[in-house]
Amino acid sequence: MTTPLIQFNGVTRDYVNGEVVTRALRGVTFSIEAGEFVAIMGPSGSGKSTTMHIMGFLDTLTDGTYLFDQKNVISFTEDELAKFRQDQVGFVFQAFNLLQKSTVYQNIMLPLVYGTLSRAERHERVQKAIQAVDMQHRALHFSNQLSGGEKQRVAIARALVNNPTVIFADEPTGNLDTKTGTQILDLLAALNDEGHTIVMVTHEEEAAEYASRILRMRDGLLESDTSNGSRRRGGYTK
Amino acid sequence: MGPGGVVDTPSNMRYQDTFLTASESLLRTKSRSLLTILGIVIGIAAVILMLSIGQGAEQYILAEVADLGSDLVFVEPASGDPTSGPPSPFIEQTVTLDDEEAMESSGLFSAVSPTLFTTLAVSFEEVNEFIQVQGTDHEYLDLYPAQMRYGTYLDETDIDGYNNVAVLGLEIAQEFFGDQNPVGERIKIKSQSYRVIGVFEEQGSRFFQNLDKQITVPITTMQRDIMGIDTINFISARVIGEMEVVKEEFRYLMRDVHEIDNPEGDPNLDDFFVSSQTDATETVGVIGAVLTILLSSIAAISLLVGGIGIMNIMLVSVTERTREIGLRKAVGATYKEILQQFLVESILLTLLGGLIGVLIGVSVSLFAGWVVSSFFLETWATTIPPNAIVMAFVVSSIVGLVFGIYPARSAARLNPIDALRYE
Repeated sequence: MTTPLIQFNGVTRDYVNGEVVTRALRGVTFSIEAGEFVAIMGPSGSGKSTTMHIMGFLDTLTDGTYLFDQKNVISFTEDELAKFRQDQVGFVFQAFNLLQKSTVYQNIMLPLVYGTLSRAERHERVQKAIQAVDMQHRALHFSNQLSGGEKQRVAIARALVNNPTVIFADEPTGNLDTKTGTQILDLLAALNDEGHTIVMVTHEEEAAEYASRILRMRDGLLESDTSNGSRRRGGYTK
Repeated sequence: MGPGGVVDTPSNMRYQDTFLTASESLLRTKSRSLLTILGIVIGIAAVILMLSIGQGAEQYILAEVADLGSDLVFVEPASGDPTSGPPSPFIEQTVTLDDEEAMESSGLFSAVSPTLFTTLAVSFEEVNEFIQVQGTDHEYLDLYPAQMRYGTYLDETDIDGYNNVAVLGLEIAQEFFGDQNPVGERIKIKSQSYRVIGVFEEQGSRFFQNLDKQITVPITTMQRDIMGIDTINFISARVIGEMEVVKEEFRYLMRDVHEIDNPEGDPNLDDFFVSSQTDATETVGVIGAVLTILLSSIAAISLLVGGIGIMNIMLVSVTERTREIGLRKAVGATYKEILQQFLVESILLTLLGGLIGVLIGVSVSLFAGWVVSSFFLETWATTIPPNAIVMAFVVSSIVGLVFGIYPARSAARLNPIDALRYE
C-alpha cells in the first residue's frame, strides 16, 4: 500500500447554470488505499455525491488533481471516462436502477455487454457474481418480481461482475428497511473482507459504522477524516 | 459534458450484442413496438400491392396488344394529339366509311375493316339481354382470324345489301339456343329482326372485350338501321411494307380526304389518329411509368408519416428510459454505443415493419390476382415485382436510420448523472 488508489488534491467542482455558479466542491484533498471501506457522510449539499461521481468517472472536476492509480483523470476524454467506468468501477444506487422486465441474469450481464469478454467468460462472470450475492435461485426471475433487498443484491452483483477496482455505493440502504439494510451492509463488508475496495455515500451513522474509515463533508469541504477501529458487523439498526 | 457530434469513438460492443440489446428493448414493449410500425407496414403493403397490380395490368395489356399483330394500324377520330393527354369522350366523330374506301384503294393496305360498336338490347323469344353489338365488314376475318363453329361469316353481299344478318359469339349462342345450331333462327336487336348466319368458335377476349359475348352485324346495317349515323369508331388495317412509311403516307392521304391544311404534319391539327401495336406498347409503358411515379410518391408520403411516427415514439422511449441510459453509461457504455443501440432499435422497428408490410402486400397481391384471374380476366398473371421487395427493405431501413438519428443522439448525449437521477 505504498501508492494510494485514489488521490484527490484540492479538487473543486463548479456547476454553472446561466449566471449562477454553484460551488459543489471547494478544494477537497484525501486519498484512499486499495482494500479500504470508506464511508462518505454529510448533509445534503455537502458535496458527498459530487465527490463520489468524480471518483467514479461520472463527473469531471473543475480544478485540482484527481489521480486514479497514478493516472491524471482531468485529461480524460468522455470515452476514456466511459472506459474507466467499465473496467475500474462498479456502482450501487439507492434506487437499485435495475432494468424492469429483464431477468436477474440479464441485469447482471449488462456491464459485460459493453466489454470484450467472450460469451463463455461472461457467463462464468455472471455466475460468479450471482453466487457472491447468493441469488442463484432467482437468476431467471424478472427484476420487478424481487423484494427490495433482493434487488439491491442483484445491483451489487452487477457492480461486481466486471471485477472492478472500486465499488461505489450511493446510499445503498436508503430504500431498504432496517433488516434488509443490515444484510446489504454485511454483504458489502464481506466483499471488503475479500479485498474489494468500497466507497459508500450515506447519511446514516449506523451504516457508516460498517466502514473502516469515515470522511465527513460539509459545504463542499472535507470536515473530518477518521478511521473506525470498531467496525460494526450485523445488528445494524436505523 | 457530452462529446457533441463526435461519432468516430471506440465501441467494443459486438454487433450481435447491439442487436440483442436492441431486440430485448423492443420486446419489453411488444404492443407499442407493433403499433409504432403500423404506418410503415401499411405504407409498404400498399406499395407492394399497387406495384403488383400495376405491373400485372401492364403485362396483361402488353400481352393483349402483342396479340394484335405488329403489322396492324388503327385509325380513330381525334382532336389533337391523343398521346399528349387522356382520351376525351367528347371527340367529334370524323372517321367514316369514305375513309375506309380511300384506304382500300390507296394500295397501302392489304386488308381494311371498319368497326362501330355499341351495347343494345338483344332478345330471342323470352330471353332478353344487353349485349355488345359490333358492325364490321367481310374483311374483318382477314385482320382478326377466327374459326366458325356453325354457319358462315358475313360476305360482301351482306355488307352491300344492308342485310339483317348476325354472327354470334359462342357464349351468346349458348345462352340463347343452348347446344342447338342456331343458324337460320331469328333474334331481335333493338326490336328489329336479324337472321343468325353463323356462330364463332370460342375466341376469348381481345382488349378487354369478351368476344364470345359479342354479336357481329354488317357495318352498313349497323350505321343505318341500328344507330342512324354515318361515322365509325375505328378502322383496322394491315399495312403493306414498312409500318412507319405507310403511316406517314396514310396521314397525307387522310389530310387530303378530310381537306386538312397541315403541311408541317402537326398532330394537333389532324382530326384523326393512326396508331399501331408499337405505339400502344409505348403508351402502356408511359402509363406504367406515370403509375409508378404516382405510387412512389404515395409511398414516400406514407413512409414519411410512418417515419415521423417512429421518431416520435423513439423520443418518448428515450425519455422513458432516461434512467436506463444513465445506468448503461454508468457501467461503461460510450456515446457511440448508446447511439448505435437506439439506431439499431429504430432500424429493427422499420425493418420489421417492412417485413410485415411485404408479407401482407404479397399475400393481398396474390389474393387479388387470384380473384382477378378467376372471376374477371383469365389470362391475368399475378406478378410480385422482386425489386419492389428489395426496395421495401432498403427504404424501411433508410427510414429507420433517418428518423432514428435524432432520438438516438438525444439518448447518447444524456449526462449520466442527470440521467440516473431522472424521475
